Amino acid sequence: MELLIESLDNDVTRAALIGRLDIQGAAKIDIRMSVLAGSQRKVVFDLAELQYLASMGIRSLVMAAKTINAKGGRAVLLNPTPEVENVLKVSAIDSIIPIFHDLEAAKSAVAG
Amino acid sequence: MTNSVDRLKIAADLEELTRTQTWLAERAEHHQLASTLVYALDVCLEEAISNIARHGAVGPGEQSVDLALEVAADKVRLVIEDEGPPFDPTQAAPPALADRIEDASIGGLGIHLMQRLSSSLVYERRHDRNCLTLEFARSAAA
Repeated sequence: MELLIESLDNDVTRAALIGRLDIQGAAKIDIRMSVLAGSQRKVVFDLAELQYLASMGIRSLVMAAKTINAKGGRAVLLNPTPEVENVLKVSAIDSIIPIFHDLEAAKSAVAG
Repeated sequence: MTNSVDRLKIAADLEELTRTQTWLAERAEHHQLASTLVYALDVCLEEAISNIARHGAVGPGEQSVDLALEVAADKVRLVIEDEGPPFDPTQAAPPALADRIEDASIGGLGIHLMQRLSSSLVYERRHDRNCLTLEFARSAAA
C-alpha cells in the first residue's frame, strides 16, 4: 500500500492511494493519513489505483475527511474502480465524501 | 453436477490474512471467477476473519478457522467455521449510515459490507463452533 502526496495549484492536495487498503494497508499509511488530514484543507483522494477497499480503509478515509472538515476544509474522492465505488455506495460513504470522476471537477469542489 | 470444494485451515489471527488472500486469488484464478465476485469474496473473508480474531476469547494462534470455498456453475458458497465463543454477526446492530460527515461513526461497517456483497449470509452454531455461510451468484455481483 502506498500513499503519494502531490501539491496542485490553489493549495489543493492530491493524495493517491495505491494498492490494497486492507487491514495491513491501512496500518501502513495511517500515520501519514493523519498528518495529511491535520495539515491540509483541500484534499482530493485519488482512488484510480486503489485495488481494494473494505471497512478498515473506509475508516481511514472517514477519519481523514472528518479532520479536514472540522477545520473548514473539504475532502473528495476521485476515480474509484467500479468495485471500490460499489463498496463506497453500499456504505453510504458517497453521501458524506463526494465521488468525482474528473480531476478538474474534484479540484473545484475542494477549492470552492 | 459435482461442486468443487477448496479448503484452508488458518489460525484465528490477523497475521493469516495475507495467506488467506493468496489462497483466494489462486482458487479464483483456477475457477476463473469474475473479478467482481473475487472482490466480494476478498472483502467478506477479511471482514469475517477480523471479526473472529477480535471476538475470540483466547490468545491469537490458539484457535483455528476452517475456510471452504465451494464453486458451482451458478453460485459460490463460502463457509467460515471457528471454535470461538458464540458470536452471531447477523444479530449485530446495523451501522448508522450518516448523511453528514460530522455525524459519521467510524467502523462497524464490516458486517454490513458482508451482507450487501453476498446474496445470502447465514449464521449457525454447530457442535460448539460458529459457522457462517455466505453465498454469491456467479453471473453478477449481488
